[in-house]
Amino acid sequence: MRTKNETASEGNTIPARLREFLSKNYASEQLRCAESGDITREGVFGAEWLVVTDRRVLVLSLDEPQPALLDAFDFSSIRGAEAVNLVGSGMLSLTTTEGPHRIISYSEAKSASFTEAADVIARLARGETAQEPARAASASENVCDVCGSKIPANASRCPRCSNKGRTFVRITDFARPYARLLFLVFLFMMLSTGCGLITPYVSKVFIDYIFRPDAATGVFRHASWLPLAALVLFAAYAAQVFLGGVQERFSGALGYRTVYDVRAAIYEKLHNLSLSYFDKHQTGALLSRVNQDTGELQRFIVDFFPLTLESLLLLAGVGTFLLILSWQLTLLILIPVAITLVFLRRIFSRVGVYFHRYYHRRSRLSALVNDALSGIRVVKAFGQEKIEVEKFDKRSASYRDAGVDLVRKWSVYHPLLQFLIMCGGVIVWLAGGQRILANKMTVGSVVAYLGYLAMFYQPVLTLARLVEMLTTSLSAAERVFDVIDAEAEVEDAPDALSVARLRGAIEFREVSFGYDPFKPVLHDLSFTVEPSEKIGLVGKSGAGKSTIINLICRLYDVDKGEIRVDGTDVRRVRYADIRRQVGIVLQETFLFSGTIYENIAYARPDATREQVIDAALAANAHEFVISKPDGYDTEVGERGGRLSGGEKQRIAIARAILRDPAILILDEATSLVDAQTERKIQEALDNLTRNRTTIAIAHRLSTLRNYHRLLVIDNGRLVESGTHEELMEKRGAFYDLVMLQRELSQIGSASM
Amino acid sequence: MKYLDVSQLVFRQTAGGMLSLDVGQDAAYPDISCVQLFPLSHPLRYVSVCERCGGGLRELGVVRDCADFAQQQRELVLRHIRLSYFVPEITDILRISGRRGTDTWDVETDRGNTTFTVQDHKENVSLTDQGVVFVVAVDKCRYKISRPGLLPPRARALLDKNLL
Repeated sequence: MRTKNETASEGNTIPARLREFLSKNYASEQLRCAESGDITREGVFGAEWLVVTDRRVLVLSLDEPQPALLDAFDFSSIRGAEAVNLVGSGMLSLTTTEGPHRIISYSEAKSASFTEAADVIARLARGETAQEPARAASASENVCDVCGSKIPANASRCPRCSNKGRTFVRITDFARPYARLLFLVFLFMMLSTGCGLITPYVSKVFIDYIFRPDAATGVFRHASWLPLAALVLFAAYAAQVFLGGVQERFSGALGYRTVYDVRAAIYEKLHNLSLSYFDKHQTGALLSRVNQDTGELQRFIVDFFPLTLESLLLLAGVGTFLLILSWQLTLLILIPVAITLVFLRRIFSRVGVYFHRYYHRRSRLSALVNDALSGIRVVKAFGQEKIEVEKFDKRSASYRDAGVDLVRKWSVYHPLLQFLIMCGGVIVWLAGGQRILANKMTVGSVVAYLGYLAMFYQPVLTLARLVEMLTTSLSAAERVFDVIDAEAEVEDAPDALSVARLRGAIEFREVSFGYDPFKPVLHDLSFTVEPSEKIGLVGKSGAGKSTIINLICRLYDVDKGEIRVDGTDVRRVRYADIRRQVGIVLQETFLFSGTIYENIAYARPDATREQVIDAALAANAHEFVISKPDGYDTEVGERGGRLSGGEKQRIAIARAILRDPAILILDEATSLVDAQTERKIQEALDNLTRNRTTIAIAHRLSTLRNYHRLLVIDNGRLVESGTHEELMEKRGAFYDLVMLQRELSQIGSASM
Repeated sequence: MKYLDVSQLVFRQTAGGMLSLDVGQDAAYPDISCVQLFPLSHPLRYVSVCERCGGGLRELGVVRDCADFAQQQRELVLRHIRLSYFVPEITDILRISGRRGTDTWDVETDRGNTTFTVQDHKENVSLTDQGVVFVVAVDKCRYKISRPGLLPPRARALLDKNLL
């Protein structure tokens, strides 16, 4: 009797006592769906169960040993069901013959499951056979199969169970083309470390042999060794420095080349991903992945990885020498080393907070400065300079305090750390001195020992932070690989058709779609557009007009129904072919940094100069371009900031004309300009729309007067269609919108 | 903005657990939602009273201050606001156990004890300019700490470690 949904979400397997209760009391009924809510009807955390059978809907509490029935509704009394989104939570509401009922509450984490449950109830209430919930699988995908934890919406794998070893291997995969470089890094590191290990031992030779007079004669018998020993010492130092420099050069080259490849892979992937991916991920977070996380990866390969290898080599080499010189002394100095390690662990966690706070406040301060300077015109226009300075002072003071706190803490812990390290030296002099006096060790050996001891702490300090550094770097690497591994939702089918030129016929067949599949924006929408027909989309904000356009451009795929272009489902046509033949002019024109020419030619990089100028002429852009000192070579600035709104818009139209699309989309293309500029743009648009299928959204409804047909969209549904005159005569939704706009226009004129 | 005269409003809880409203003798609304306009800075002031219809909300007007209601009415409205606005207030942090950049938080909240997972605390634990800390769990549930200074010292120390 179990359905797939019973185990669809985390911890949602039906408890045995609930199963027993259902078997005992509802044995003859077939279970359709069971979901546990995580908020009680009092609004506190707690589980209540929704159980849907083929005959009724039950809500039960399992607080007591015996399940308690809180609500029960026969399908004969249920008229509908709805999962209502609230803030941070939701409720499943039933409409019954007695009115609306709030039957169960749940947190946002469970809204997907309850939307499915509401769908099941609604279908059963309509007398349809409830199928398996269509998206139960996607709900279960968000829970880790291994540990049962919830997987973040923006991650492709469970961060708890991700295999850091595998991530490390993937990083090395990127380094594989540079295997020779990797080998050289390792070789020069070994040589450099080896040279470093020689020097303390040479000091032993100086003291114990060269500067030690013969006990009987007082003659320095090995005096002739002095130049040679000095030469060895010089050569060891020189080789260590030289080889270390070469190794740094190779490891730097390895790191930068590897990360270049990673960065190229992530950037290329970002461009290949569907728009839905960008809906789910904030631009800031993606920027951070491209810049900061790859930077962290670079730090790992350039700095941390060689440093760790070097530390391990040094630790092994120095440890060996320490044991050779005196294993007894080595056992003794393990005491301060162990204390130092424990101390390090404690201070890293304590001082780490202050470091983080310091960096966090610094970034908040820089964000504030960035914000205020970016919006300096607004600040000045509203005369808010004083308030901005006060805000800066407040954050700057907080940054200053964090710095002072950090220094205060660090000034306590850092000397203590140094003191602990020095204690090791004292122990060596004390215990080593006793061994000298007992003729069990030479002075040279103790001095050499001190030299090695000083070298010993460096790798110890590095390796003590190994886990922390490794975790940070590998987590950054995982975030990078999350993007590289992401799959595009809109992809060409293996047998996708190539279409050289579209005629421009469009058909929506019972299309339903939502950016979040559980919150549909369009509902069973159907309409057709003939080739070269001009269609206006009309409706309130949020009605779904821009969503229709996004679907025509195939930036997303529909959830239900289909969209046909020239009679073929768009999912069966190569999406590059669709996009190549759809031109779009948006309300918010986006221009890239570069020249006017480059921005127009963006639509067709292979266009000739003459074609670009012709497009600008047709878009009424040429006349303002020639007034610029640098003509078409004029730099438009960041996001086109050096041009006016009307100029930017005409460049966008020129771009669309150059593209020569079969289908043209105009999304509020004239809403941000003055009347005179609008006339010029309208002329340009007339040139652009001639003999093309055109779909336009316009804020000013009067601009759609000459369109062949207007489609009125409300709440994702087509409510009216017809010509401007027909819809005005009909006095329906379109008429109301026009009247409202006229009233607002009159109010605006009166207040001028 | 249409401000409502609270003396004309009579809220009731229906048998189905919904909030209904009678406005004087003239109008009755069977399914009402009360929405806080300033849930963080002024949670009890400026409450929008909306009728739920057609999958959306239609505002009937705004109540300036819930303190203007008689006690029973106030309690009823606040109860429904509490049901509609589910951002639990963390009152104590019992434990934060980290593993590979993903932390499990065991907390006490005004909605009871709970455990949730936070990935990348630098991104998902944030402090607003008003001094409110927001914690966003991996399942998108939000938690808040309106006055971090009032947390028990041990919880404050744990928050300090994870906040910044």
